[in-house]
Amino acid sequence: MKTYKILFIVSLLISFGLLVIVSPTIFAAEKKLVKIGFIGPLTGPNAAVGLGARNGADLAIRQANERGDLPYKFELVVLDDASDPTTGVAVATKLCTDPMVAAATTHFNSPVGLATIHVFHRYGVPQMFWGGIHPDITNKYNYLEVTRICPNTLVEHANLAKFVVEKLEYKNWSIIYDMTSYGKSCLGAVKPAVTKAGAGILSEDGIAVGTVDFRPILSKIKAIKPSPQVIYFGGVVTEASLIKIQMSELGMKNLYTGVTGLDSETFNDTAKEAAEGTIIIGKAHIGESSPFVKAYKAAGYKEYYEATGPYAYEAVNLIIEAIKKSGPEDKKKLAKTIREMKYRGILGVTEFDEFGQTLSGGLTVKVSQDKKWVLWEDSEYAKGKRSIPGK
Amino acid sequence: MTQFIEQIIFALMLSSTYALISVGFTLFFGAINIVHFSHGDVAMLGAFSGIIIYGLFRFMGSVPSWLITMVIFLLTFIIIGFLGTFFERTVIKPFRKSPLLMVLVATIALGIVIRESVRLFYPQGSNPQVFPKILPQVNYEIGRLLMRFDHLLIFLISFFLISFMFLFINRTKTGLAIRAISQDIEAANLMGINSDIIIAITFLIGSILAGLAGILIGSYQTVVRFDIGLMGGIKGFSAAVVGGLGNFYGAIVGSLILGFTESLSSAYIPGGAPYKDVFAFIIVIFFLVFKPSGILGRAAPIKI
Repeated sequence: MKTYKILFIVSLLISFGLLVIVSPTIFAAEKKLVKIGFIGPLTGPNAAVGLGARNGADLAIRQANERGDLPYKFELVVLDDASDPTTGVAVATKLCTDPMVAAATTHFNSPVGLATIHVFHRYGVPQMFWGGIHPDITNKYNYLEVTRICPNTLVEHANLAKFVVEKLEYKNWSIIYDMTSYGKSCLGAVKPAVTKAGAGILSEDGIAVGTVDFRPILSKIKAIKPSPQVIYFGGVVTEASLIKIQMSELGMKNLYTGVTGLDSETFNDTAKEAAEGTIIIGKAHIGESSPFVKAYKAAGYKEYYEATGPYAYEAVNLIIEAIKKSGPEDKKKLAKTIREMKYRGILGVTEFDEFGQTLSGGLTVKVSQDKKWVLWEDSEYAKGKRSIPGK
Repeated sequence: MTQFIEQIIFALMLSSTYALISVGFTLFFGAINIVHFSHGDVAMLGAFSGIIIYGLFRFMGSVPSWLITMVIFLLTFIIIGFLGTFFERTVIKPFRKSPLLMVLVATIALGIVIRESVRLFYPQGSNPQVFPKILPQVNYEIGRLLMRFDHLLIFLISFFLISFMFLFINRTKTGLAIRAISQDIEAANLMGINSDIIIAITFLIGSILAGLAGILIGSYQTVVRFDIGLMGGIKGFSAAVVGGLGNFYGAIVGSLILGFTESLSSAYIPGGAPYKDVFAFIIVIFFLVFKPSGILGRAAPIKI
């Protein structure tokens, strides 16, 4: 027993000694380490988009380190919020209390973001949203630290109404939304946008996330007279695709629309043939031959980059660009710099309004054609070869 | 009127998916006095085995679709039967002499293991997976009413499976042995019943039922995800509790109550759709408080 104890103490001493000798030599040779945080849902129902975004952020860090033009070595700290506000606050606190963290890009789910902005504000760490499109995230408190690189619900729905109501002239809408804060913010944005454009709303139905059987609601909508031309869904892909599948099961031929919550190929992969003709306001279009996609593929990530990867990539690049200007130490100065940036990247030019909300975000109109999202301009629907449902 | 008939059909369909699961709970509780909380996850495994087998067939080119359907049912029968026996050996049997609570926790843990394994090891396991259309896609239009042949088939197969289960427990020698064990395991042993084998058989049957239920539920929902077994299991268990745990008719009555409550509350209560589970579980709580033995259950001194 005694020999074990002595052995243990000696080995402890040796390892400590080694650490003391080795560590300065390691650090002296390296550039100053700057950590950039990433928080997103890496497990749970939104894991797919979370992993895509993580890879996007990771790619930006890798490229910055490969370029090596800055006197810093960047490291991505990846944390999982599991789409849960409580977990989100816990990991945000963990991130902010690390003094090496200069800034972070965060969250797909608005409820998580609404909870963590206060944490980032309290610690004064710049937080840039790559997802999460509830207007309150930026507009309600207007914290200096908080910015968002993706367009919010108000911007998206204004575009949707402009296209579907004004251009395609669909006047009768039925609305389904999920009861999360994202779904409700969609409801809050779509109603004024649609009515302002001159269309009427015939019904409004909330659904709980995790519902798989929408037939009762759809059957109810089917029975409305005069029947709605458009069924709009404010929510995300899983429920969205199930609704579309069950719509076609019930023989409903209304136009199905939504915004960026639906913009994932998972929608088409799930709804298959039923997805045909769905029109959405989609996230920025990143072509297959763009440098981002090429670099992403070359980096050999296991997961698809989803619609979120480019936003996280752009966010990290923008943060690095801001660090280049004002350094990573003074975080308040860094936050101010981010707000004043005019950054040209893969999403076009990003500028923030007085609330820290991006003015562009590169929104597009997409239509589901042959089980893929296709840009409206390039689709057979725009060319008149296929006709849009619901007329 | 058309809408009302449609709603009734949807409620019946939903009820039959719940009944498939709750009959399993009833079997386990009525026969060997355990609550098998990973039962729903075994059903999920059945659905995934259906998807995988269908995927394998796609590589083989032109095979008639009825053959694929038959093979899916048959292979799932075998695979899930095997898995069920395996689970019994590894998770249930070691706790044979322990308090009931141990088995309960063990099955909850097993459920987590099954769910997370599918999520981690199935390609893109966190995403919803499309369940192949293995039943004939034919529609009948009666007036404005759209009837689907595949839904009718799902309903009929569910009915057949549950009736078969009922007859098996009540009319066969093995079924009687299962019931004997549930009443008094030691006396049954003295009468020459090998309780080890009988309990293994119960698990085999119960798991096969869950596996086939998974295929049917997958066909109805059109999409399955790694965690459908969790809610499905809770709903099935609740239905069994409402009807009276351990009673076959009770499981069916409970499923109908739950299914109709959910379906009709989302259709006819304004703004009720997001709260349909709330309405359903209020009924469950109501029964737990005022009639803990369920509608058709016998009053038992000990309930979980």
